[in-house]
Amino acid sequence: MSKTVIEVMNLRKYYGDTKAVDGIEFDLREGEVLAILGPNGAGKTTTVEMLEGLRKPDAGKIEYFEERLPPSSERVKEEIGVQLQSSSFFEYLSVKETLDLFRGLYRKSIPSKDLIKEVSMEDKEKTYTKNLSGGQLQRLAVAVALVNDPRVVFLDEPTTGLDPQARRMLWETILALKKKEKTIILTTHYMEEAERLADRIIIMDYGKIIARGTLDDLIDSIDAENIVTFGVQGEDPVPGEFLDMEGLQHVENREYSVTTRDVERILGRLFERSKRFGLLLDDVTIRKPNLEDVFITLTGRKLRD
Amino acid sequence: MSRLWNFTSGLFKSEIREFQVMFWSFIFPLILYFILTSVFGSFYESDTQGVSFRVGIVREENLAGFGKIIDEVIEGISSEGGPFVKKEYGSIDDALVDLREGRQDIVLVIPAGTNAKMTNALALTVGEVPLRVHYISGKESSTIASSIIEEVINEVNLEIERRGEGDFLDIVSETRVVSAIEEKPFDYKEYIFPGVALMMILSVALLNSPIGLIQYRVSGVNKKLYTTPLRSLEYFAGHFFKLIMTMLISLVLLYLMATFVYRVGGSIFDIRFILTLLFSMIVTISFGLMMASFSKKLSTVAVLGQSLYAIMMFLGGLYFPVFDLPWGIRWLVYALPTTYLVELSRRVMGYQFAPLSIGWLIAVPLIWTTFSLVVFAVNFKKVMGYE
Ligand SMILES: Nc1ncnc2c1ncn2[C@@H]1O[C@H](COP(=O)(O)OP(=O)(O)OP(=O)(O)O)[C@@H](O)[C@H]1O
Ligand SMILES: [Mg+2]
Repeated sequence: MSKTVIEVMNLRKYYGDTKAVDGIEFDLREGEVLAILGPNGAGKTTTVEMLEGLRKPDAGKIEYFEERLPPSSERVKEEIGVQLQSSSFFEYLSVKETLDLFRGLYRKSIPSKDLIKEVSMEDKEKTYTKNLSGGQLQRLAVAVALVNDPRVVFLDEPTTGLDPQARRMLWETILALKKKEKTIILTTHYMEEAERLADRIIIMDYGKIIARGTLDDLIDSIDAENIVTFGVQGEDPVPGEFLDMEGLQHVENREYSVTTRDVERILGRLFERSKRFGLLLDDVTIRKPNLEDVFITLTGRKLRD
Repeated sequence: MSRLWNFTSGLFKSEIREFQVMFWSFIFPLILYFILTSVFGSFYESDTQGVSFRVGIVREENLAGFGKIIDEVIEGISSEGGPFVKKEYGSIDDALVDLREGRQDIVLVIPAGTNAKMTNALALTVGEVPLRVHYISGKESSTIASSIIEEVINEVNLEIERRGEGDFLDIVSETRVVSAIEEKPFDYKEYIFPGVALMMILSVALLNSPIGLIQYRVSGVNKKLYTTPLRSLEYFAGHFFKLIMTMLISLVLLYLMATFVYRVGGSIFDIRFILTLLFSMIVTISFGLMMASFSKKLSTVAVLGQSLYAIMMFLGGLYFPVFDLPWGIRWLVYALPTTYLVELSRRVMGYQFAPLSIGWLIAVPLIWTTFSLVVFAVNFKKVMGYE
């Protein structure tokens, strides 16, 4: 088993009555990607910022590396790279100058050119940061997080606000880092992001970890049910009798989903009823549950409203 | 060290590229220098050619008899519309002190024995009656005043002759040169230079500096910096050097203008004068840091900065004398560090406006600096932290 890079014990941070982080524990192993998934206000940012040494925990412990260093130690600061949820830089420095400024703060660093290429900002190299778009600023923030070739990378919602192409590109960057054995902590509300990138996932809600494990672990934890989704064409509205089925949920418009352990029985019933009511089925799919389904099962709410 | 330099130069670049900074720190002071010199420079110059000179009269004996003619002359020249304003002194020492410190342009002494000499001269129909004139050579108003007196005495002699009261009598003036304590010809362009220079320094120290610090905290730039190995001491050192660099550039521009446009003399290149400016930088930067440590919000620090900037500039006597203000606000004049700083620079140039010794001029700003830095050190987490 690989080395433990960070160990988090009974971490707690309250803001008045708000239990932003309420006694969480986890550890992070060398070279793994850990995704922290949760709705707004779940405590993701508070958690990572305590790990980054930006916020002081009310209780609990954070230890880095074999030496069990606190986040405030200089060694740790040399070895971590941080992308904050909202980034701002010196407004009148260009992209390249910003990278150079931050490179200068570390003992070791990656050439600015390489970083600019990594986040595809060659054409913005000389642009002042105040003139970058939100997504460009976000990409610059990721590049800045990598200037010191960090051993541990923190990415707080790195793809929020990115267009689909930029998002996919950033995923490539993260996968490349993973190949280089970097340890990465990533927060997100995109299940797809967690599903694609993470070795392990932590789901947070109201400051607590409500589930954790690999993607498979999490999905297995909801009893390995299957999900059948389908659309209905024809008579409007869809007759209530047609929809009278256990585990059925309305997705949107005329689309529905049914959670079940017995796919065959559900499909049989659907075809039988469509014939009876003279309705047409389309887009019938059978899929494994995803993280969203896990979250809904655990909390009764959707991850994103 | 290279880490600090790299950080400082980054901060500096981002600072001076801002139009606000460019304008207020570099361009505005030059405009102000121009305006002040154009408006007040000629005003002060015409004043020296002056409507009236100040003459101190010292009577070692009161004039009587024929000697009264001298009184009449004195009354004549110091009457309304005359070239002199006179003040009578009881002792020569008092009069000379005022002359040295610039409160009189000349001192006219009527020596003991003048009456006797006048009478003698009348009786013997020949003789000199000496009057003494003390003036300061090299001080324009004093030199002019003394030649006017000379001229007046000649006129009186001619008049006596014409009236036929005796071609024998000759009132003469013995002139004595007195050296001034602070005296040198007053040059407005030079006088205002330390004022404008301090205003420049003040604008960087009280506006750019605290606003910059709070802005970096509010915007989150600081937060990102705290995740790096940069130490807080390095952060503030970088900030400090950035300010010094900005101030130096603006001072260089001001020096160029003073030298090549206004031909201000060597006094501004005196190393002691330059040291007073560096001293002012350190004092005002400390003050600005203290201000920043009081403010959580950008608007607070901006209002605080603007107000203190204006107060320190005007009540600190940067542009005009403030020691005649009513006591209701004069206490503020005495409380402000800028009062002492600008006076210190001017004292080094050879002017004296404030009734304060050099010791006070250095001690009060030092007390402010110490106090500011202590307050800042106690509060600085507020400036640095963001939680
Ligand atoms: N500085 C603070 N002062 C007061 N409350 C805070 C502070 N920071 C966070 N909180 C509260 O703590 C809770 C957790 O916030 P946090 O930013 O960690 O959530 P998050 O999971 O990152 O959410 P998001 O997905 O919106 O970024 C929220 O209820 C938030 O209002
Ligand atoms: Mg967050």
